[in-house]
Amino acid sequence: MTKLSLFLILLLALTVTTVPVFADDDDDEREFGFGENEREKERERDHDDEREDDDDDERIGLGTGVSDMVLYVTISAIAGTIGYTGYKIISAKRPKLVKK
Amino acid sequence: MTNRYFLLVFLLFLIPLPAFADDDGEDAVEDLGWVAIGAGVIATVPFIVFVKVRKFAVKAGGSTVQIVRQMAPSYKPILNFHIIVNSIGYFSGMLHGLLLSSNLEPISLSLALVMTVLMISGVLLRYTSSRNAKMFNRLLHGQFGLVILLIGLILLHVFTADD
Repeated sequence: MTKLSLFLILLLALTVTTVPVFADDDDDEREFGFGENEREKERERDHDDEREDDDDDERIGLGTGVSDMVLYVTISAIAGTIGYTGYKIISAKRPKLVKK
Repeated sequence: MTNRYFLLVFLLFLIPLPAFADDDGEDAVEDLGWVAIGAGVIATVPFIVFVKVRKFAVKAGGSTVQIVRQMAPSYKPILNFHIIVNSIGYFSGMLHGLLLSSNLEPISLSLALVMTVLMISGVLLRYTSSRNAKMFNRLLHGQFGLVILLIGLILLHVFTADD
């Protein structure tokens, strides 16, 4: 049990330390003044973002038909497997009724 | 003996490091995915082969029982190898997913879910002492359907991730 708690603590620590990497740093950029170069960079960035948005439309994303089906099938399969395993254990433990 | 064991574990955890030797950051993150797949194959295939051979030898009976006896001492090291390398693969895969979370799509999410279910059931199978929990996790961890689903999702992810 101690080993399990140690493992869970390690898992939590890893998760907590990884999350700040994804913190948005856009606000930091706004603090600096906007010179001509910054404006140009901003325009280029906007242009790149538009291009990325177009790419995103082509990519399989959340909300599209077939790939959403894959997710639903996976969740159902996991739920089904867990349910089936639980049922197997419960049915193995329950004593069978003998007909008189 | 214990020191040597810890050194081996430490060295095994260094396996994903070459993924960062690449100059391009995106490529390094992508390589982490390949590290996860490689670690999964290396950790799982020998273990499954070992277990199947042992089962087959027990079923066959006769002189093969001697082979089973000879195989018995190597079970624990192979199991530990399976756990350690699969843990490395799992964390590499999760890190790969977290770093590329801006491109999240249902197939990757499904893959992460199946990996997590198998990982949690494996950890609980190894570290719980309750008889019921052990039995439940043994059945869940060895479900053929989940393994097939995992392989299918890995293939789908590899083929669709670059699109």
